[in-house]
Amino acid sequence: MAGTADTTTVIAEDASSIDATWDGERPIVDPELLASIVGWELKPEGLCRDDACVPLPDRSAIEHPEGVDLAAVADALDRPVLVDAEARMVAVGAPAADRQRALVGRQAPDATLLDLEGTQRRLSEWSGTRRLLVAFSSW
Amino acid sequence: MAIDENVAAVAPLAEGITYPVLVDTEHRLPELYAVNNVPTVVWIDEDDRIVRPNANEFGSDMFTEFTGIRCADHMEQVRAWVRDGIVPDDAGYEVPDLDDDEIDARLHFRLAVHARRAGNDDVAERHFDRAKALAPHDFTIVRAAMPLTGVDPFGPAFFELYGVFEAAGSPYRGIRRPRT
Repeated sequence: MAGTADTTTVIAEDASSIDATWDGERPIVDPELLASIVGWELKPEGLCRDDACVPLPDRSAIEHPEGVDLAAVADALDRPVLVDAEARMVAVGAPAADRQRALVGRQAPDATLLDLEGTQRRLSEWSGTRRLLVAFSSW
Repeated sequence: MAIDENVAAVAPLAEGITYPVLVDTEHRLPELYAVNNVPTVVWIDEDDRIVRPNANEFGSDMFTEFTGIRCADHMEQVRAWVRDGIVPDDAGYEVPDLDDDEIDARLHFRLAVHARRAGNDDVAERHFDRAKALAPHDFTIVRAAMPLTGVDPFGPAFFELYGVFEAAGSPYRGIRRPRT
């Protein structure tokens, strides 16, 4: 299947615009992009980050002649995924295990947020001090 | 942390505040901490341990008549924790995890926000509607969507949402201080 690459919005930790080849409902992306989108790379051992690898019992679910199926990669990483093929958009959520570490394990999750000057800040910058995380809004 | 898509709307609220103010434009806190309304306060210690999880605490008494919650009760507990390490009895509360619909609602919401930003209003509307249908009691979805869809978040739509929320047994994800 020779598809054409369409500009696709991928929303994971951050949002980015990438080229994806759409096979019906399946967003097929260059495997080289996986590290920047979901933080894991496709290797012979499976999906890997640093020294850890998630084995892939069914590699054919992920691999595609044009690249890798991003939604199937999210599934393999146990991350919720929403695909709007018509709009050429994909949203990938956090793994349930990350939230469990917070709600049950009581380990504060880290995240990158913007400050009011538009600079990216990590919550872990304030490690080492007792603090209140206050969620508020303008709405 | 403002759970807010609109950085410009947050800036005036942060005026004069001396501690760090961040903006969670990507709605990471509702996903990672299962936050479903504001204000929500989490106590975190020097080792990044959550000492007291999500709690509906206020920085002023502006809404006390409405909520029955006085900010001084919380502030006294915060001081006792910081000074003497005293942790209140309710701190062991375990915030229930999001269900699959609430998880999906967060994805639809984020997708809608980006579609809206890109000028794809039809796509945005479709996903905002889906998010609201999946998580009808979640203020980070239903109320946060109001200013993004031309609805006043302090008008009748808010009171309608509050009614729906109360009728469902006020399913706030976290500790709610008893009314005083």
